[in-house]
Amino acid sequence: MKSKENVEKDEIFEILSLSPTPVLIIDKDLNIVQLNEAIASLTEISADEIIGMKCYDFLKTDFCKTEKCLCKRAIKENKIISEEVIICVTEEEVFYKVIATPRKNKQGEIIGCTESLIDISTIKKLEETTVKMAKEIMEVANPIVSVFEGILALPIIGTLDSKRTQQIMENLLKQIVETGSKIAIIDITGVTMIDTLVANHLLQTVSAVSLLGAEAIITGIRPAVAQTIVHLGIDLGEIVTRASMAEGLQYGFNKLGIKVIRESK
Amino acid sequence: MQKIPILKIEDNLIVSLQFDIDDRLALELQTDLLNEIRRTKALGVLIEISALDMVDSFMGRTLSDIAKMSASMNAYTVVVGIQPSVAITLVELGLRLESVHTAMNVEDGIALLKDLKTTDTETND
Repeated sequence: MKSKENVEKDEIFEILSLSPTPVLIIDKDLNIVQLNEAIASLTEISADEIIGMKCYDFLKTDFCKTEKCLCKRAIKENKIISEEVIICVTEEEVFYKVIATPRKNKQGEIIGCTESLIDISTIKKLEETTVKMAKEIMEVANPIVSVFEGILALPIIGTLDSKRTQQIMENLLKQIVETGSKIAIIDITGVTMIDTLVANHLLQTVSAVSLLGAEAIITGIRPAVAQTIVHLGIDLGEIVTRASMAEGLQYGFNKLGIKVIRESK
Repeated sequence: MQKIPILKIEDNLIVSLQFDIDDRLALELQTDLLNEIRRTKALGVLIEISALDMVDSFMGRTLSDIAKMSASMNAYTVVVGIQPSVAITLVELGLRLESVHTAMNVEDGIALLKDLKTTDTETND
């Protein structure tokens, strides 16, 4: 009986050692029974030393010795459990996708489980970079330009969502207070779509600006956008609107009592 | 007991809120201001709130009320120095601060009061 089990183990081991995926075989009590080359090469400890170690002493995760332990769950629930976990093999922590599969003997009794590890740290790193880049784009996407003494311009390009409008509003108000500007021109030439939500955000921004004692005007309302505004029944009320940024600037000049004169040569 | 000082400069009353005030104090300020308007025959009220980090719905309504009440006593109200975060809160709460004029700082506020008073005299003449 014992030799038969050994033969079985050897066969499994042969297949396993060819696999590039790190695999651990453990028994019911989480003792490491077998492992392949790929997992042994992760550490400096020799394969012989690893055999007999407890699983949680070798691969340290936050799940170890808790109810979340993948192996315990796989053995208990008799099903394949997979999860993304940070594993600390040597000093550094690496993101792995761990798949725990229950292992049965010929009689169909569960005798332990196999653990395969898939290194997903590159994917995780990419994910992080994408999130960071999106955040950075968000930050540079809403420039506030001082076009003249006391006049700020805010060209908006792209789609407006709540998060972005919130950010725009905060930045604009901060800039107005910092520069003591009296007029803020919000140019929406680059806004392709306007709905009730976006319009509401714009109205809120304009109200907030007026609370600071400045005035916000909206320019660059394209014909299609003007049509949508009317069709949606959005009331722009007392908000000053102009067709182009140039006209908005002119309005600002008038408000501040600035006259632009062409010098005759 | 704390009391908010009301200063008179020419024909304006100036109030500076230096700390977050509670509802009771806000109502007291309202009464005091109205009494002062009657006593001094002031034509403008300037409330400076740049030190406030938060304006709740009650405070917002009180400011609006003060403006309406003083308007009925022939005085304009200008609130100055609203912080960006306060402005966002007010807008999100849907408080419009009706009848309240706003300006960025005390200087602008005084100028605004002067403007309002002149347009008033012009229309009367």
